[in-house]
Amino acid sequence: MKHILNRRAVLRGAMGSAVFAVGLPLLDCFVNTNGTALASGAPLPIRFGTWFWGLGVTPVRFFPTKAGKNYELLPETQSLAQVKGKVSILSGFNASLDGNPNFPHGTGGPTIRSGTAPNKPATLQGPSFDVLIAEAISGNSRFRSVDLSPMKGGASNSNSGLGPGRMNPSEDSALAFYNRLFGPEFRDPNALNFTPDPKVAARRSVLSAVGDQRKSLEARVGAADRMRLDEYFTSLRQVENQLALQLQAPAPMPACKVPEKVPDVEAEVNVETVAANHRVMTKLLTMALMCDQTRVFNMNFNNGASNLTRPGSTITHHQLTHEEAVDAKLGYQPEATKFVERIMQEWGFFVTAMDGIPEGDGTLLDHMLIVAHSETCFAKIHTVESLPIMFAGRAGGRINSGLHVAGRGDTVSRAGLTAMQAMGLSLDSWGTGGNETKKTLTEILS
Amino acid sequence: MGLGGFRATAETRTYVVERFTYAMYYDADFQKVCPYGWLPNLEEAFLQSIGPDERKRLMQPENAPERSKRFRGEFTEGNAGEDLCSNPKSFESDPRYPLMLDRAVQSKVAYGLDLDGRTDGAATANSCQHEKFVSPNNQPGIDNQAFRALGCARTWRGGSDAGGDQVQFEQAHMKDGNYNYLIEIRGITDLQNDEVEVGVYSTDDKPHMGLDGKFVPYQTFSTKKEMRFVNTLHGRIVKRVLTTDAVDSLRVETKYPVSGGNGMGTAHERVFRGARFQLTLNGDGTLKGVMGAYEKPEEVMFVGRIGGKALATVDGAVCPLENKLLEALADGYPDPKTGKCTHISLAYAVEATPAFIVHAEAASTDKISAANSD
Amino acid sequence: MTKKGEFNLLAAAVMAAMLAVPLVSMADLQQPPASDHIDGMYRLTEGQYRNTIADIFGPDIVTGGRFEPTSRRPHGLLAPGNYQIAVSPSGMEQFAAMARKIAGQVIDENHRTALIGCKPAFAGRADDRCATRFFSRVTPLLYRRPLSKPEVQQLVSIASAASATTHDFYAGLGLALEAALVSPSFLFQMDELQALPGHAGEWALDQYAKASRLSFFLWNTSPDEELLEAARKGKLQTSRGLEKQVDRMMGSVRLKVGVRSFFFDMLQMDKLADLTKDSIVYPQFISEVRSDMSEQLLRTLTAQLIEEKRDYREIFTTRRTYMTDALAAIYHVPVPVQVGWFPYEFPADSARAGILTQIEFLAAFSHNGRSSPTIRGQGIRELLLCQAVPDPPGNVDFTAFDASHAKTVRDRLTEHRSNPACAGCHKIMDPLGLTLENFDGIGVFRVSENGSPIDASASIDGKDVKDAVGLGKAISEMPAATSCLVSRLVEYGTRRPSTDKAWLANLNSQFAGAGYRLSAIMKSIAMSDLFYARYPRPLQKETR
Repeated sequence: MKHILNRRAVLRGAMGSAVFAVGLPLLDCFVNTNGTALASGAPLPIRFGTWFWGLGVTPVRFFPTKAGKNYELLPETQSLAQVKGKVSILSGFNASLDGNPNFPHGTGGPTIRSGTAPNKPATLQGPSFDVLIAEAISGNSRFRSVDLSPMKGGASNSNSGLGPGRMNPSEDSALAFYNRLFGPEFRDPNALNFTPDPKVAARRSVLSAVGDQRKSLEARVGAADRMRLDEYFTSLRQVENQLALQLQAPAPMPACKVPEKVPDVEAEVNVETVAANHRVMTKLLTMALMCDQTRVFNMNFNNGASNLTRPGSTITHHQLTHEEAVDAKLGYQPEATKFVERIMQEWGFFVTAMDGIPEGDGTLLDHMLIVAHSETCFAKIHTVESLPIMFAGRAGGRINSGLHVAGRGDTVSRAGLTAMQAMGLSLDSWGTGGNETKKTLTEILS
Repeated sequence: MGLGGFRATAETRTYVVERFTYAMYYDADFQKVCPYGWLPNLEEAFLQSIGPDERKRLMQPENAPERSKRFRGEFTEGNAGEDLCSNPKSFESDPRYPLMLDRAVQSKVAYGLDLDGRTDGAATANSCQHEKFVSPNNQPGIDNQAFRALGCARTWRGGSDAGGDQVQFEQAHMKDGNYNYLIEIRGITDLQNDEVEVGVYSTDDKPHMGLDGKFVPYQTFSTKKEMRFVNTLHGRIVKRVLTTDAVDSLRVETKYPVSGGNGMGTAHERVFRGARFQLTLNGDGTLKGVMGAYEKPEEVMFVGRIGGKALATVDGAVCPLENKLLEALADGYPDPKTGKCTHISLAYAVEATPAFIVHAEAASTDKISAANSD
Repeated sequence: MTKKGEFNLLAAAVMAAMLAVPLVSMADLQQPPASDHIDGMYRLTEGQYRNTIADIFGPDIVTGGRFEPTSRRPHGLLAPGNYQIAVSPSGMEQFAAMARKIAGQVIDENHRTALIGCKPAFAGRADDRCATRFFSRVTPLLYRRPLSKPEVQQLVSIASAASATTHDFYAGLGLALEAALVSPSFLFQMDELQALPGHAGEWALDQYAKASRLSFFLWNTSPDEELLEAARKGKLQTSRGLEKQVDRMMGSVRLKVGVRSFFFDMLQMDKLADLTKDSIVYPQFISEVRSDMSEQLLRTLTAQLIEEKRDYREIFTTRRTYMTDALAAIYHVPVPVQVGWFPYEFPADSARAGILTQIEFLAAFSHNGRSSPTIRGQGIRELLLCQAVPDPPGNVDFTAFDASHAKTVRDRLTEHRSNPACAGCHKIMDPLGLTLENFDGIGVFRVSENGSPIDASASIDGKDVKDAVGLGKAISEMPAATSCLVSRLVEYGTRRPSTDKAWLANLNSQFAGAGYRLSAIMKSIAMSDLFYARYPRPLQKETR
């Protein structure tokens, strides 16, 4: 089944900017026998996303007590029961303020995303890691990333951007999202004229030219060094092959189907309406991924100082976190925790939905990494210590999952650095001041 | 190094204050403390301020949006559009915010110090007649009318000695490095029995936070340049407990971050009248105890004044109700003309960790104080 | 590509004489490699890679990337390990990504004018003339030797084809630069050989390999244009010519970079990346302390040994160092200002003197949650005195110990030293470390442990020592301290430990004669013939 085009033929074609017309039928046999790559030889694309929710967690009802595998599910993480093996929970990772104020609801999010504590509320000091990842992996996808929020006022409900004042606005209408994806501009991945990127072709020929030095060098070294040269050239060849795959027609996406149009529902702040909108958006998003329209997304469930309400109640989630006393007997805020549980149900739904779509030898979730986080830990007093963060998915086997990782006061930047390295970015350290780190989450990125 | 005994040469101990918050004594028996219930929150106060028919109508589920709009809107504004938390004094004669003395604390125990030197609560030259508390360790004559006024308000009482949100906000801002206070105890020769001098200063320097969320000990802080923030008190140490005399005015600088603003927020001077400290010098080098003092009623609520009505609409605090109680229960510094007290007694919980102090007026490190543990 | 025998030294000399000196002309010589045999391949370390890129293209070019660590420490140092490692597939991905990132910056609009040095006739097309100028100038610096004509031509052709494909001169040039940056000629420093004139059948490092060895030793970076030029002219073959270069390099600010890199290796500071401390026991061990403590040690060393040219032995006794506010809290000393680094001198009655009382050493050679005289003692013996401590016996029966009643570490270790199976080694290690017991597992000063006063006295190699200050003095008086530095410098510079006793003895006496000045011994080493010797093994001329 595996077929690699003759290198020189591809190069000739690419150099001459030839257009490869590829119109292929949709067949299961596109996937190779072990399901890790498409039959063309292209590996399945690895996607990246974030899932944000506002107002944190109730620490005693969220964070497992023991680090490692098989962590226990607490009331606020019950919704992860089905996918626990593919979700890791991070605790004890702090945002270092570096002399800046802790802006209520405006410090934790930007610190996690940009590795730098903000000097103005809710302001990214540099590019967020999802943007850096999108630059690296979005390739020829139609959308570099998609930004969504199922809650009213969604445009400003974003944690993604390039820096101060350069936020990526979120889409809060499922219908608008549908039209953007599957309207007349839709590019069916399975019926497409393919133009290989001439720069990739050129880069590949560059590497193969380096490989030409092999013989002359090998003739001049001793036996031990010859083995080392062998290793070097084998490694070089592998990088060359990765480029070759990019020159082939894009992977056909057998599971890509244009979904039915969604109804136009006005975004709301009522948590149940927001959840329903979230579910519609999630389904559209899965198809956007299966049709390779985008490889990166940001889903912002609610905003930082969340004004989510419950049907029939005038009090918002944000007010509850402040007004409601910590019940002395229970040890937590009984009403506020219900909001957290409700939000976490939606996070559970989101992950489970991604895991419900078969792809290759596993599921869509297995070929993605989702970083979920909030902007505070205990919202009542706006703590930015032990900011809740989760890693979902396996990123095509690049990361370990199903772990509770205890940070013991280390910076939250370790999460961003890990995500970026897992997605293949060339980066050895990240963050500034007390948030600068060279350490990845070694348990996750082995 | 002795173990808390006599020293041949006088020693100076220096600290950075890590906790400085209202000392809220938490008695789990709510019925005992507040037998008539909570001081109303914003929605309750609003419903109470309107007629029974209107109240009934607004309580219908279909009218919830109107109710919400009204208690967050019109109810939070004075006649001239004043903000109810920034300008609580403008609401003094507003009938929507009655004086609710039954919602003051009715129990007997509170943290604090005896500030007027009488245990019976009778008026003195510097105080009006008022009820006294006993301290949790049975010291009589405790003055803490601020606790009496606010102890049944949700945002002050909270669920433990840490207090409610208003108390914890103040602590959180100090921990985040918005402002800090420094304490210097000079002339220590004997921890069992000694006369000492105590300096209290403000600093702009930010602390490094340890992995346990506490200040890293033995950091260096410089005092603010302005001499008005240099406070000097006289005190006596008996069995490791330092008790100071009262100082007429203790002046410190507080900063509060303002959402939407930038930098470290708005500076705010606080003046504590008749301030005294009672602090234990622990063997590990830390300091723990209380400050008792008088403050103007509206200053007690400075967090709310700076934050404005978000404190009401988000946290539910009804600042004019709180202010009325504070005014009514004021017990210090009577106005010579009216005889009405202008200040209210209060207590602050103080915890401090060893640190070096560089005095701003000193150009070099010559005047650096040494921080010592035993 | 070049075939052996195509080239001889005489031809090179004639060509050199015919050509003017301008540095740009160096590669125009089209001089083929000098020998037909590569004696060893040394993979660039992270520091060498980064320094080389910064030297050639400027410090604002961001390198990024994750380097495969040199994990092999075949003897005392990491340096020799680079003769043994290759490039793994994931390492290659990183090198390719870094090459892309660097080349992308070199050709971007902010840098192209300054770094490329010529403009194409048309920006949308290939321009072989400009490409040739660029690669003739830059590639010799990357490959640390002149290039043959076909080598330059190959890069120019790559650039030309890629420019045509991308319709962009700069994009094409950048792609060809990527090729140079992932080439084995850049990533590996090749020890090329040349015939030793007058010694038939004998071979030595060629002049460019010599230049590289010298440059990596003194500067931890690739040779600069002037050094390559000296090599081309054969100046490194004469001791006068060599001395001129050595003196020039030792007078450069880059010497500090090289010395820092040496001590980083000698003191095993690479291990700090994996250092963990229990956050409950040591909550004050915050990230600023972690990063500042290694910088403090390196600053102390370079200030003492380079800026002030002091006696090496004083690093064990000096009270002078540099401080930040984060470090000052751990040292329990006040700071005048809360900004950056400032010089600091511990008072004469301080318990701290010398690098062994700095928190880098104290924290690095401790357990997660407590100090360890054994680990500290072993660290001093092995790293600073080059004395081998045997591994613990595999069959240690820990049930034999009952140290649960022990309050101090000394009490616990007394149990060890009373057990004959353990005593042999513990007696070597523990006394040194016991003198440092006034410092806990992150280097905070203490006088007691669990309520019991600490006794920091010990007998070290027959000398009674009271405390850490006494330890520093005792170490500074040990001949092993200076001879260890000499042998480590030799191992670092030649990237293999030397077994040549006569050479080492000679170096040791030169070191003593120069008042134990670091610059003097580095120069002595750099001027030694043996420093440039090839591996002491016969050429392996396999027929294949």
